[in-house]
Amino acid sequence: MEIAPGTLALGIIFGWIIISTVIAILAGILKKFSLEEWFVASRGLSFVVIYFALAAEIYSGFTFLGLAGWAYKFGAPVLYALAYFVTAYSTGFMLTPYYNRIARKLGLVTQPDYFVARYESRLLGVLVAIIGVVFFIPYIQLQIGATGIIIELASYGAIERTTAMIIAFILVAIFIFIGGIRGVAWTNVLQGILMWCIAIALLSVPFITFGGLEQMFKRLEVVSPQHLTLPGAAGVHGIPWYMSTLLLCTLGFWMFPHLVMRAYAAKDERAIMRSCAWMSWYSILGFPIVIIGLFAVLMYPELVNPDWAVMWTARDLFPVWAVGLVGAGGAAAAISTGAGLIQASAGIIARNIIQRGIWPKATDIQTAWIARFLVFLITIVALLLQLYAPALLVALLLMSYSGMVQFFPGVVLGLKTKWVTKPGVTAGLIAGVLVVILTTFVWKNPLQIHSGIWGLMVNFIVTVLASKMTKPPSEATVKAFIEEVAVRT
Amino acid sequence: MAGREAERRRERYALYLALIAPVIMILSASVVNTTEPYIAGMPFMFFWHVLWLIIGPMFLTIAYLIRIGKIKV
Repeated sequence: MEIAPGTLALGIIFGWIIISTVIAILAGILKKFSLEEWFVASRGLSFVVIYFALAAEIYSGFTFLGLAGWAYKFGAPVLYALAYFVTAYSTGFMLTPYYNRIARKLGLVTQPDYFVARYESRLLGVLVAIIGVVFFIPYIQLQIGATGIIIELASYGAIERTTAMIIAFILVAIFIFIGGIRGVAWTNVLQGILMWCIAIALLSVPFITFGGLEQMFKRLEVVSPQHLTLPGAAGVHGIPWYMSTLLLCTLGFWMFPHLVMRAYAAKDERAIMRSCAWMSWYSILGFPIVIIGLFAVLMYPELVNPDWAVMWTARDLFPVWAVGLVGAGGAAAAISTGAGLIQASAGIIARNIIQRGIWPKATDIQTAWIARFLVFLITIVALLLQLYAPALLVALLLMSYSGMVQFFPGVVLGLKTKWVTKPGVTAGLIAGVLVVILTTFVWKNPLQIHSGIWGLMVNFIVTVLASKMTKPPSEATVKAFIEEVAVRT
Repeated sequence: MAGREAERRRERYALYLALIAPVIMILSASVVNTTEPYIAGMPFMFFWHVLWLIIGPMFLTIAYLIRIGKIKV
């Protein structure tokens, strides 16, 4: 009996998803349920687990589909993404030991907790939580959408996109509910291993088809030379855009709440620093995917959706079982990132909006249970938005990095200066987000400088000026951050 | 006291090394935005980024080893 290609590929993809789900559930079920366990794995994740956990969350559906899609559509501007894969770890290397040290000392479990502790303000924590979650939802939606595309293409159309998204993310919600961050981390270990195998297979494609990279690039130089330098094929991504976007990503990367929570979950400072140093090697993984995007420009010039480049190439050149594995890798990338984002969002809402906002009497265990159930709610909301309001999410997605980077002044000045104040940070944050909205939708990226950088500049100025005019937090808090925690002695 | 001074020195050196990749990569864009020369089969702009995908992590790994005292400074 002959198995249809779609059935075989689909079997491999869902087999992989089910194995991941079982491992995640086992990882979580073997540990006693508590707030610290579900949020930050009792701060006990070893170097190996934290390494793969971070890597799998960082290398997401965007890495797998979007990177090749960008290379296909724009060409050289995609190199900003390869560059920030390197530069962002430098920021992480400098910041994450502080995150870990502070979280350990003060019992922080979410990113807004930092603002609550440093600026003695639950309200600021609520504001940070709301901004964080609003800019997070489009990222979750992005992962859901990517999963749908991957499964639909890998199954040769045997399963429809909407059905694929719903099944995959129901399984994800179940394993986060039970496994918490520990479950998420262990599925990411599996994904990390698979991604490396796929990247190596993809790199072989131009060698097999054209005889080498140079032959492929020379042909591209004839067909579409604008793909090879800035401002790229669209002509709008010039040097100022590249520099400001790279700066934005370098500074904004470690402001994402789920990554901050992973830094909290590391068992010590050394584990997270080591992860940053070693994870930067993982960035090499992006290169074969960019190459596939450029390869697709030559091979499939009429591709309907640029994000299909990787899957289309796999379907064209690889045997069916390998298409299944590529699909499994892509789906795993999107799902693992989505899982981390959903878990972090649920944690932030439960901890900073409910426990520290509207229901202060909630105990830690009640908060953890609320977070667990919020996983389903957030998954359903993201799924519904993906199905019925994708335009709204595209608008938010445009601003998400720009929005997240607005936390940077509050975090860094809070670590390094004594004079920064709650009103200063609040005013700076609001001003920064407003400027981002204006420079995203009204005056788009003036002077080709990214909207997030405009927001950040205004944010810094407002934070400094307003802080100089207002009263800093208590001596004890400042001492805890600046003298005892932030400065290693 | 000497131990604390050594620790601070390690932190400082590690910080300088960690900063090399972001500073060079952000500031070099206009200089490297060209296809010629081709190196390792790639236009220069692409080669430059691939090169930093290798030496950037090397700097960071050395920074880590300095930070934990495995490399003396």
